Amino acid sequence: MKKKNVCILVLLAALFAACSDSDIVIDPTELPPSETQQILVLCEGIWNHNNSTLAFYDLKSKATDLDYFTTVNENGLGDTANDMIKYGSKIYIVVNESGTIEVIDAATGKSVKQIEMKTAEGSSRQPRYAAAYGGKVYVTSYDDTVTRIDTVSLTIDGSVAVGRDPEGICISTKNRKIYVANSGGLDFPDYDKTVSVIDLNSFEEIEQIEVGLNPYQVFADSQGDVYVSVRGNYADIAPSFKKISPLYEVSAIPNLTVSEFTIVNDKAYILYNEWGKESEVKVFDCKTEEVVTENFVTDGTSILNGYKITADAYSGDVYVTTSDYTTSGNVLCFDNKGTHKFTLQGVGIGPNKIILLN
Amino acid sequence: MNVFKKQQWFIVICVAAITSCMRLSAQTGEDTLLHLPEVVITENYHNRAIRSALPTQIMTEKAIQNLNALQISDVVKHFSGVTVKDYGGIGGLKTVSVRGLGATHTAVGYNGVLLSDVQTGQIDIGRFSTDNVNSITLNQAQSDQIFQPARFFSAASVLHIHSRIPSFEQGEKTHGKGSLKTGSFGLVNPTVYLEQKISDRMAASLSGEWLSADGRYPYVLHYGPSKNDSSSLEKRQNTDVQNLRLEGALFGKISPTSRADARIYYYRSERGLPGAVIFYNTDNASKQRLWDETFFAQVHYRNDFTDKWALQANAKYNYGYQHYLDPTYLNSAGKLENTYRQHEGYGSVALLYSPYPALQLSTAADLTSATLDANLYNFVYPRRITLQSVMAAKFTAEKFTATANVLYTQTDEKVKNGNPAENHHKVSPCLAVSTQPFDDIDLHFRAFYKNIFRLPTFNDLYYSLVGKRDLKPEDAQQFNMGLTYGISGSDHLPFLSFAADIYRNTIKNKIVAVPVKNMFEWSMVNYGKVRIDGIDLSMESIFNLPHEISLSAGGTFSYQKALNMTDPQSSTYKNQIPYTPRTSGAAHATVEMPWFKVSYTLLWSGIRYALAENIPQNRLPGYTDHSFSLSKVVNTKRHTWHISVEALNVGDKNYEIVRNFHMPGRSFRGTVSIDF
Repeated sequence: MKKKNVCILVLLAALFAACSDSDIVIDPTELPPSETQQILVLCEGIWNHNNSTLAFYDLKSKATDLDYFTTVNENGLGDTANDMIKYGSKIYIVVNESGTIEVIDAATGKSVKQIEMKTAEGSSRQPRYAAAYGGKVYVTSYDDTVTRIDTVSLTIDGSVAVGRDPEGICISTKNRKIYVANSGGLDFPDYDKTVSVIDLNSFEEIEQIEVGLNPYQVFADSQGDVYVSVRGNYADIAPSFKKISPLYEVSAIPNLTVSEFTIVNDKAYILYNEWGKESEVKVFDCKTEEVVTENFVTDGTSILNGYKITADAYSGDVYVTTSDYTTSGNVLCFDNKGTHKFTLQGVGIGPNKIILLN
Repeated sequence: MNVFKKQQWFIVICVAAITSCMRLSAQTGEDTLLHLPEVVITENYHNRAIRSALPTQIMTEKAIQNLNALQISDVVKHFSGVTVKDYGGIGGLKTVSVRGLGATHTAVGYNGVLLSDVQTGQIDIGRFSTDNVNSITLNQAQSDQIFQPARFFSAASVLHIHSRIPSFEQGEKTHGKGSLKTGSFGLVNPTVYLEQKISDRMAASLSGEWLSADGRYPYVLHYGPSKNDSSSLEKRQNTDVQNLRLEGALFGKISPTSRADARIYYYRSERGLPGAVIFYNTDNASKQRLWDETFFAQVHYRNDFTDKWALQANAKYNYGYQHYLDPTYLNSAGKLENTYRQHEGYGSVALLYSPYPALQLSTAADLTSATLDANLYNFVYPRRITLQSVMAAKFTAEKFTATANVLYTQTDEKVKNGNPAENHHKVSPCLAVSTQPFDDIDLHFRAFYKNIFRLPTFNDLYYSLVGKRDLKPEDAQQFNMGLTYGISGSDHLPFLSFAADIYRNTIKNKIVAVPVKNMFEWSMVNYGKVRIDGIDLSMESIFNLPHEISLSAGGTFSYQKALNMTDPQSSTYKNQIPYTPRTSGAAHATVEMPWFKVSYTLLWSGIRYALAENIPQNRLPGYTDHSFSLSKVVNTKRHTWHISVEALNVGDKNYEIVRNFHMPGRSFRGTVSIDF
């Protein structure tokens, strides 16, 4: 029943797109969300241990496979899987130390292709984060580039130089631009301060916007604003949370301390964590540009060592992962009212990305 | 009885003489340098191990020859209670953790003076070759000889490497040894050793060694835990190593009661750091290189003024240099390059007073000044002055021995910019007793207690952002009870010894790194607690068989229940700590025939965990490593030739001691040496 609904929607959307004057084809990233049936959790493992894992949970049957990728493919993911995104029917897993992009079929978990991300000398380019749009997947790498992967041929079809040691990447479909946070982390203490802007059509860097020392994550809202978490230098320069307008004006959002965030349905879900203290979750409305929920968790559930945050675009459920970087972390799920729904215990080491499958 | 006692005393004196690089000339009244037959040395060492109130394990030169050992680490693996963290290959880091306490609690001594690394607090024992090693001892707590520098009282265990001491036959002036070792993975290892008698009162030794290997050994890489998971045959990359060691020593008898020796040591090495084996990135994962240089000069002086008073003084200057390069680092410079320089000055004076034959009192004061320079951002250039003083007493009755000491440690820390770490004042006691309940049975019961600590290293304190100035020392407590039993003298069984100890060690304020806010911000804290309950068993034997055949065999077994006691809420609570097998052991057997000698060695380990959680994903399987050697001595008119062939890890077991750092599979070595 639900699948049918989606099909109809897709068809309608396609029809609508085809009928409109513009040649914009609806992108998989813009499909309306639907109810979550299964959860995939990417766990980065520990550096040099080759123990990145992909965990699988079926919400209904409670079927669980903590090492889903290995079970399906009979080989491990590799070392330090840092990010994954779903685009169309496939999932792209960015494996930092192994220097690979593992492309798997979202429905079966079966590896479709392993794309090499190696330097001319053969070492890992250290791919970090990915974003997708318009039939392309874009991946930041510590070799100061954004790599473009064609999602049909599953080959690298371009690369553009950006700032130093790029981390987070997002695509503003409104602005038709790619934003990349240049951390400069490998040049410690001489961090980068900029966000690179890449034109989606020409795939060229058109701007470097100064946002503050050591930018980390970038996410776009629907109006063309891009939010950046800036980490500072962990010493005298404090972290901050910034907004870049479509005209590249940078403004600071006051009174918000951000460890991790994500933007879903124009709401920024913000996680703040300090070791040994309870983590906090806040919700910031990107339209009104104010904090709408100071304490998202309403039932007193305690989150220790909060690591990453995701929200379900369909239900508004919020997922918070926990990690102490050495032992298996958990995934806590809250409903949109901030009430604890369930916890997945011991998912893997450093659960850093969740994909909700329907 | 009286005769026996005299003999016993003679043995004790002999052992003291050998192990502290001394001559016996004062006691024997001879001016020549003493020569002891090897069998006597071996037996004496075993006697010392049996009588010691503090568990002592000794490997003599002869035993080491039978262990298929290239590096000191290969020998140490045969001690009980020991876990050698071996990153594989000749160039791979090898550190010793004794009884679950971690490598930073193991002191490593070299000919009477401790080696130190104030930056990391641990010594890479893979850097020391077994060439010209006279003996290696491992003491729990410390040696039970109280007349030694204060620093030797300052660790939970002491591994001590003793080099050969010149000894000459009547009329002999010069002799030496040359050897050439070669084998799998490009190993080339020539050594030369020379002893020169300069006068009746003075002798010198010179030693040189070159070692190079490409280290490119094959291994099987498994991409998953189950049998169906894929695997590939790989070759370790970037594993080349080139070492040069030069050593010179001068031994002199200054007066009828006093003698001194001086040593210089120079070591340099260049090696590739292969790094962990990374899935899908095995060929070019690492191009990192490391250059090392160590230079030290040390002098030792001892004067036995009277029967009651003796004095020894030691001094050392040590320079350590490390240069690390990662030419593929993805920063703006296109490389990561760090240099570290350590300087250490050290002086020690110790006094021994023996008011009665049964009672010895000693005191020692050591002063150490250590500095570290590094080309790191915002580096603070720390300097630590440590004053260690010890008062010790040893009571030796016919059937009872008791040793007690108190160590006082004081530190003074300075940095060039910012705040230095806290200074520490600590008092650390140790008490050991042993008893031999029956007159005619060589059975001893022993027990000891020691409370000791390790200072935070310069990395713990000052490493960029991570280091924390307010760290407390890591405290260790040791309790031990055990027994030793020995038989010696019979024709068929000239020697049999057995030792069994049970112990409980605890660590609190264990220094660990924890994340502060995110994975980019870490900090060192005194957080961990560990409790280790263990059993050490060891056995050594020599059998004389007909037709001039002798068999020597021995083995060790270690049980270590080493539990993380840090946080009852944590999933790691009461889990076995990483890289510490619950059970492990070693065995060796040598059959010596008039024609040749065959040796067999076995190393085995139960499962270990690579990470703190004892879950299947973190499990490292156990392993057994069997090696054989065949050797022959050929006497020509003027020289003695030794020829040996070794087959190592003959089962070609593909195993890892440290996860993703594979150990070599089957390999071969051949050695030719000549005594001249």
